[in-house]
Amino acid sequence: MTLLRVENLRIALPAGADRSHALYDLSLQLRSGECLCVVGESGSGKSMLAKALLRQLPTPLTVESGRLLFRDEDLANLSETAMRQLRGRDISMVFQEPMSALNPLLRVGEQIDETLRAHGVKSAQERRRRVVDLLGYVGLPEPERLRLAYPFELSGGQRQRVVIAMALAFDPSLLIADEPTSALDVTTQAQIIGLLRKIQQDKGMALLFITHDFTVVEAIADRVLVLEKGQLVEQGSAHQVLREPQALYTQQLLAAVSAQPLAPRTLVDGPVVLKAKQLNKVFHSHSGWWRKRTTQALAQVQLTLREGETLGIVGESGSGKSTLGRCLVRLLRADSGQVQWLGQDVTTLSDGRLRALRSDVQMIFQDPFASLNPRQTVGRIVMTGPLVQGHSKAEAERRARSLLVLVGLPATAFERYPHEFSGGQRQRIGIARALAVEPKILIADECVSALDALIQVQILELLEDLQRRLKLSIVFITHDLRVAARLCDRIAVMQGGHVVEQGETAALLAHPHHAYTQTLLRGCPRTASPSTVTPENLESKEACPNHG
Amino acid sequence: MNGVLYLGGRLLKALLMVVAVLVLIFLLIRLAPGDPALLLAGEAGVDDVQFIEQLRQTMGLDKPLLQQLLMYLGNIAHLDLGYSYRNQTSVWSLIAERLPATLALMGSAFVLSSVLGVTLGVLAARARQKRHWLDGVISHGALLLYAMPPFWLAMLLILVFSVILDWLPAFGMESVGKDFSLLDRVQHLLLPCVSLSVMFLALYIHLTRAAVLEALGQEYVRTAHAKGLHPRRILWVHVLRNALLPVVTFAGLQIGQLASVALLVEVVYSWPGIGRLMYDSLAQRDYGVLMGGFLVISILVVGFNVLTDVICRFLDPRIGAGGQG
Amino acid sequence: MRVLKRFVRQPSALIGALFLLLLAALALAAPWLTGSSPWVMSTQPMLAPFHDPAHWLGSDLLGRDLGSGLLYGARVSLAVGVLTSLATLLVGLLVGALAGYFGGWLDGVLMRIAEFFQIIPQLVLAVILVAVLEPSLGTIVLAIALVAWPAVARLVRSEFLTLRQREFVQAARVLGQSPWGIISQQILPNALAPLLVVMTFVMATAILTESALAFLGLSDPEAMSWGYMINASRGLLRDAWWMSFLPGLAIVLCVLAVNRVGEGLRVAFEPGRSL
Repeated sequence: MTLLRVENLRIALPAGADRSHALYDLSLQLRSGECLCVVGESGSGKSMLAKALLRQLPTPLTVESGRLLFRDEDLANLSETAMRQLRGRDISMVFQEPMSALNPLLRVGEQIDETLRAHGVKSAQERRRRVVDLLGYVGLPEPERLRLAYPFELSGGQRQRVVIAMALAFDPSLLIADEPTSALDVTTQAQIIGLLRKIQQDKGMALLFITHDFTVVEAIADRVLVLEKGQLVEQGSAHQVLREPQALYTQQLLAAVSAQPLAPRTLVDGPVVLKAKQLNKVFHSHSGWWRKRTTQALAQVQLTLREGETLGIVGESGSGKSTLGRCLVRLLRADSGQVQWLGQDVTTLSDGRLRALRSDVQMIFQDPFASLNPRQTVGRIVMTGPLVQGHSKAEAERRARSLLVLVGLPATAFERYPHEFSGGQRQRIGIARALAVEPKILIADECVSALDALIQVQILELLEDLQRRLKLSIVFITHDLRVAARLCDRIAVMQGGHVVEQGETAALLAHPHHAYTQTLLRGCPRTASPSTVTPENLESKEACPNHG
Repeated sequence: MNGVLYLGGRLLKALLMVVAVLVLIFLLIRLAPGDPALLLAGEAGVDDVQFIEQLRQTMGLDKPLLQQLLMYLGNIAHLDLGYSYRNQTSVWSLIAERLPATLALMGSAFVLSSVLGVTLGVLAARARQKRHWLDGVISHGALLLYAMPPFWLAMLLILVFSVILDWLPAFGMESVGKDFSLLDRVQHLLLPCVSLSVMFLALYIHLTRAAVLEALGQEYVRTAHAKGLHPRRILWVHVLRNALLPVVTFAGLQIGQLASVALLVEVVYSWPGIGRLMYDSLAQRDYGVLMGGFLVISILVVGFNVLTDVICRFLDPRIGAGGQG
Repeated sequence: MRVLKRFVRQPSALIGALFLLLLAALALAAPWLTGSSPWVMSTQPMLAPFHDPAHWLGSDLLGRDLGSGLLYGARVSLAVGVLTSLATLLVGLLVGALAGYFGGWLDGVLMRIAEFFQIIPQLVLAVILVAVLEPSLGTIVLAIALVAWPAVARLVRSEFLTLRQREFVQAARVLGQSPWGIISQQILPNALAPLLVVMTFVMATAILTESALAFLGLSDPEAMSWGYMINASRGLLRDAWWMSFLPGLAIVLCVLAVNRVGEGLRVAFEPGRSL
C-alpha cells in the first residue's frame, strides 16, 4: 500500500536566497517495505524534504503549497500533539552526524529510554528491557553495559547504531535517513547499510534514504529519485535510473562518479622528482596530567614520484595520508627517514635554508573555505608566493593575472575577496596560488573532497590539463579510491600508517592483493553509463562478493 | 576513581592559588615605598616604637627574603594575620566578626542574581527564537543595568526607596536599639542585596541567553524533536542541562567580582561586613587589616571556585575523563 | 574600507561613536570652556541646575561648578579608559602570542597565571595596589591593567591557536613566508576583529573600575573624577540628589557608548556576511 504520498510540494525560501524555492512541485510515492533513495548534490533541497515530512522546517521556511500524505492523512491537518505522536513512533529519522545527534551529557540508554517514555511505555523495567533489546538488535556488543555509556565513549559507527536503535524504538512504518553514512569510513558505512537493509527486510519498513553517494544508492535502493536545485529531474526503479538514465543531469552525475580515467594513461619512466624513504612519524597526545597517547602516524613509508606522473595516495581517516602529505611538503618533520626533492635531501633542513627550495614543491589544500585568507584580495593571495620568493611586485602581478585566467577564473577575480566565490572557484584560486611559484611538484591534499560530484570533475580535469601543459608531477591524496582512479597513473593504498599496496592504477583496481584494497574497492559504485563499461569494471564486480 | 582524582587535582590547584595570594600580599607589602613595618603598623601605630620593634621581629625584616616569606606563611597557618593597633585586637578576630554579615549579603545576592538572571536569560533566548520583542527588552535592559556603577545605583535605590518612599531602611544590618527580628533583618538586607545583584543579574542574563541560543541550535535538540519528545522535556533536559555548563563555570569565575562589588555596596549602606572594615582601614591606613581582608576573601573565592569546578565535572562527564581530549 | 561602511550602517554603534568623539572633544577643550580648574570654588554652594546660566548644572557642597567637574572628569575617565586598554593590549598580546604560538609548558604556566588573576577579587586587589603605591593616574592605570590583562591574553592565545592551524597559514608556510610575515600578514589581520571587540569591553570595565576606585577615595588627588564627585555628594542625597546623579549618569552613558561601539565593530568585522 502507498504509505507516503507527496503531491506538488513547494517550499518557499526567504528573499535573498539563490533561488525562489527549496523544493518546487515535487511529487513522489513510497510504498511499505520499499526503499526510495533521494539523490542530489548539496543545495538540491533533499534535506528539506525530510524536514518537511516531520514538520521540522527551520523557521523562515514554510510549505507554500502541495500536500504531504502519510497513510492517506494530510500531515498539515494534524495538530502539533498529534504530530508529536507520529514522530519517533510511526515516522523516525536518522541524521548525518552521529556525534552531534546524541546529547553528550546523557547516557546512551537514557536517550532511547526517553523516547519510549514519551510515547507511553510506563513501566521502567519494560523500558529497560526494550533498550537492551534494541541495542542488541542493531549489533552493539554487551548492550547491558553499553546502555550506561556516554556518547563520547563510543566510536562513530557505534553511535550511529545507537541513533538507529533510537529510531527503531516503536517499529516505525517509515524511516527517513538523511546522509547517515557520510561521516563514516568505508567499512563502517557498509556495515550500517547492511544493518538498514536487514531491518527493512525484517520489519517491512519503508525507507526514505537521502544521499549524494551512488555507492549507497546501488547498495540499498529499490527506486531512485534525482533532484536538481529543488526540482525533480528523474524518477524510476534503481536499475532504470542507474543503468539507463534518461535525464541529462543524471547522466552527468553518473559520469562524474565513474571510475574512468580522465585521459588515457601513459607509461611514465622519467627521472624521479620526489622520494620518500622509510618515513616514520609518531604523535603524542596528552589528555589530563599524566595520560599520554602515542599514535604511529607513519611507519616505514616508501614512495617515489616520477616526472609527469600522478601518484595517488588513498586511505581513510587515520591512515596517515595527510601526515604523509605534510611530511612530503615539509610542513612537518618526519621522525626518521628521508624526503628528497629533485634529488636533494630536505628532511632535516632548517626553515631558513628550505625557503629557497620551496618553489619546487607546493600544496593544494582541502577546505576551500579555510585555505584562503579572508582578509586579502584574490590577487594578493596569489601574489604572495612570488613576492616571498623575491620577485618584483610587477612580476608577481603578471604571474597572478595570467594564472587566474589559466585556472579558468574571470580576470576581475584579481580585485575581489574569497568570500565572493563558490567552493569550486576557491579551489581554483588555491591552485593558482600554488602554481604562482612555478613548482615542479604539486601535493594535492584531498583537494576535491569538499566539492560536489560535478564540480569535482571540473577540478580534476583542470589538474589533468595543467599537468600536461606545465609538466607537473602530482601526488594526489584522497580517501576516495574512485577519484584516484580517475586521475592517477599509480596508486598507493595506506592503512594505519603503512603503505599496504602500491601499483599501476589499472592493475590495482583489477587485481587488488591486499584485503584492505579490496574493501576500498567495494566502496566504489559499479554503476556507469553503458559506454563506460570496461573490462576493469567488470572484473572488479567479480572480485567483490555482492552486497548483503 | 576518576572523580576522586579530579577533586584531588582541583584541591591542589586551590591550595597553590592560596599560596600565590599569600606570596602576592607578601610582595606587595615589601614593594610598597617606605618601611614595611610602618606600613603594617598603620597611622595609629607609627608612634609606638616598641610596637614597631615587635613588628620588625615578627616579620623578620632583617632576615633574607625567603626566610621572611616562610615566617609569614607559618604565621598564616596559625591564623595569625597580624595585629590592628587602631582597634587593639587581632586582625583575624576583626574579620571573623564581620564575616557572617558579608556572607549573608553575598549569598543572598548570588542566589537572587543567578536564579533571576538564568530565568530571564532563558526567556530572552526563547523570545528571540520566536522573534518576539521581549528579547529586545530583556537584552537592552540588561545592558543598561551593567553600565550602572554599583555604588551609584545603590545610592539611587536609597534615594527612591528610603528617602522618598520611606519603605526600607538604608543603614546597617539591623535597627538600632531594637531586639532581634527576622523581618527587621530582611528589610535591612533587601536594598543592599538588590544593589549587589544588579550587575551580575545583567551578566547572567547575557550569558544564559547566549548559552541557551547555542544549545537550541544543536543537532541533538533537533533529534529530540524528531523523536517526538514533549517540548518541556526538550527544554529542561536537552537545552538547559547543556546550557547550564558555561553558566556554572562563569559563576565560579565571577565570585571574586561579587566580593569586590560587595565592598562598594557595604560602604554605601554601612553594612557591617568585611568590605566596610576594609574601607575603614583604608582611610585609617591600617594596611594589616586591608591585607587580611583580601586574604580571607580570596580564600573564600578560591574555595567557591573549586566547588563550581566539581559541579561542572558532575554535570559534564567529559571533563577530566580524557575521553574528548 | 568595507568594515567602516558596515560599522556606520548601525545606528546604535554610530551614536555611541559620535558621543565618545564629542565627549573627547569637550574634555580636551575643558580649560577653554569652563575655566582652568574644576576645584575652584566659583559660586555659592548647593546651586540647583538650570538656575544660573553661568553654572548650568549647578554647584556642589563647596560651590564648585558641577559642569566643569563633569568635563574634567571626562578627561580622567577617557584617559584611564584608553591608557588601560593600551596597557592591557600590550601585556595581553605578548602573553597570548607567546602562549599560543609556542604552546607546551610555557602555555600552561602563562595560562595558570592568567586564571589566577581572573579568579581573585580584582577590584580589591586594585584597591590595595593603588593604596599602597599612592594614588595617581599611573598607579590607577597599572592596577586596572594588572587585573584586566587575562581576558585579552586568553583571546589572543585562542586566536593564535586556531589561526595557526588554518590552512591559509599553512599555505603561507609552504610558500616560504617567514614567521614574521605570517604573523603580520596572515594571523594578525584576522585576529584584529575579536581583539578590538575585547578591547572595548576592557575599556568599559576600566571606566567602571576607575570610578569605583575614585568613589573609595583612591583617585588622583590632582584630577577631578566622576567617582569622586559621587562620593563627595553622598551625604546630600536627600537635599541635592542631582550632585550624585549627574556624574553617575555620565558614567552610564560612557559605558553604554563604548559597549555599543564594540558591538558595532563585532558585527562590522564579520567577513562576507550580508547584513
